[in-house]
Amino acid sequence: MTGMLLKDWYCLWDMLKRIVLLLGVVYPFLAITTDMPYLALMMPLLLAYYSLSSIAMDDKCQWSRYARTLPVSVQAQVGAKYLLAVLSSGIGLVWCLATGGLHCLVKPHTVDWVGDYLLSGIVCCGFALLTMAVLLPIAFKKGVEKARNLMIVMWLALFGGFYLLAKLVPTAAMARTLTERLDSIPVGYAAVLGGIGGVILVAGALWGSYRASCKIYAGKEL
Amino acid sequence: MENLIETTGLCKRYEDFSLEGVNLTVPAGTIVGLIGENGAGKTTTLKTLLGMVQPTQGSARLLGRAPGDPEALAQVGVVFEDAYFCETMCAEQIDKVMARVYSNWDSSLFRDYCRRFELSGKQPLKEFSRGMRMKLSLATALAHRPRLLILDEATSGLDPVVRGEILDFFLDFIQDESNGILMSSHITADLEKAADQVAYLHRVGNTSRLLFQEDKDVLAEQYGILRCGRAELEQLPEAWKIHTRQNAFGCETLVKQPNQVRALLPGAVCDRASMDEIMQFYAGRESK
Repeated sequence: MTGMLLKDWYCLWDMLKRIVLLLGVVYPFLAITTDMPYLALMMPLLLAYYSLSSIAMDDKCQWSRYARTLPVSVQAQVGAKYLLAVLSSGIGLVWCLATGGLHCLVKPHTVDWVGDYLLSGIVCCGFALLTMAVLLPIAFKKGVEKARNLMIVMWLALFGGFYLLAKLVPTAAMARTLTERLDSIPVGYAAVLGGIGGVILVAGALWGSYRASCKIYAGKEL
Repeated sequence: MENLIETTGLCKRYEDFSLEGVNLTVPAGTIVGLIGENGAGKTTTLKTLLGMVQPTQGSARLLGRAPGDPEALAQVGVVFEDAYFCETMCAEQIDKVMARVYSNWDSSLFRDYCRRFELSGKQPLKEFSRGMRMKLSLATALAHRPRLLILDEATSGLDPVVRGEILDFFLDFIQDESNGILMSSHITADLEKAADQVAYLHRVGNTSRLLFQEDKDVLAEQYGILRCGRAELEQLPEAWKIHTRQNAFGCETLVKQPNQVRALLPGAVCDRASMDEIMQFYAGRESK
């Protein structure tokens, strides 16, 4: 699997180095100067999508066809894409937290590192991995183009859902109810329960998705 | 003699095409050339052997194991009609990747091949010519010291000089008699030069079958091109005549048993049939 991962890295690096300035410098700079942590919180999501890009690159150069002739199991070939998604979103999270640290250092009291960066970053990272758990089997079965289209639909549905919720339910009432509910739960209890639940949800989704992708990839005639 | 590849009644059926009953062997120490018209199923046969497609019926063994078995694939080098690496990768990176893929990958041997083929280690693939890409594929296929090479149109589109170099390389490879090569090619001249045996996949309608697998020398004894008039041709038994083309000078016929034909028609010219001619005459018979 390490060989497959290294191959993905070599292929992606050429693409990544063109936007490393944007991701590594411009986004963190804007996040800090404009007090908009979400620009840094996008990092795990943006980087996780590179595992889809690696499948697109494989399709373009017909690597998948060649990979079948190598002594590498289907599980390892598919697993490398999942590992890439986990690693890249992890790197995105680290970069996001580093940006948050710098933000707090440069402009103390404007943001809360734990709330605005750490917890939000972990949630974004989990969301990125859940998204990949949905998209990777689609990319293996139908191709990356269809997976990307689905991603757009997912995003539209998510934000459209939030928008509709905000329109249908009076905001002040919803916020008050939510605050009351959250206040009634002990912080430590909520963090532990939420954390464990989140990890189980993400790990379970990734495992199920990986199994499905292995089945799809093994049955694919190239 | 050990068979590196062995298929028995191998069938692969698609909606619009089927490959039927392929019995193919690649004995150790031989180069077997797989020939056939476009769409005759050469690539399908190779893909089935490598486990890339599942056979509908029949069985295939690759180095005594099931197709796609990683332990068998570890001893096989594969070259397709192009190098299927990402365009931005270079030979040095391919070396590092393959060192993690093959347990017996020999980096120094790979670098030796690259030097021998005059391939730069740092130049990305997108800057390589087609010949260089094929040489890189070959270096990659050989650097883990495989016992079996499977080549799918590996020499097509290459200039005669590069083709010659690569064919010499195959002949070197086969010096070790435990090695073997199965190569599909449209360029029958390459097979005339390198192959010990020839297997001919012939398509009739939507169905392809393996018409024969023979030693190259036996083929030369079995087939001939008879040039004679219609009256002389009529004297031959029908079973010997495969297909006749009429031209301004008389008839050209692909015949079996050329020695017996020569004895029967001493005045007629019966030359050795090339692989191209055998294919052309068989294809002509079906399109009649």
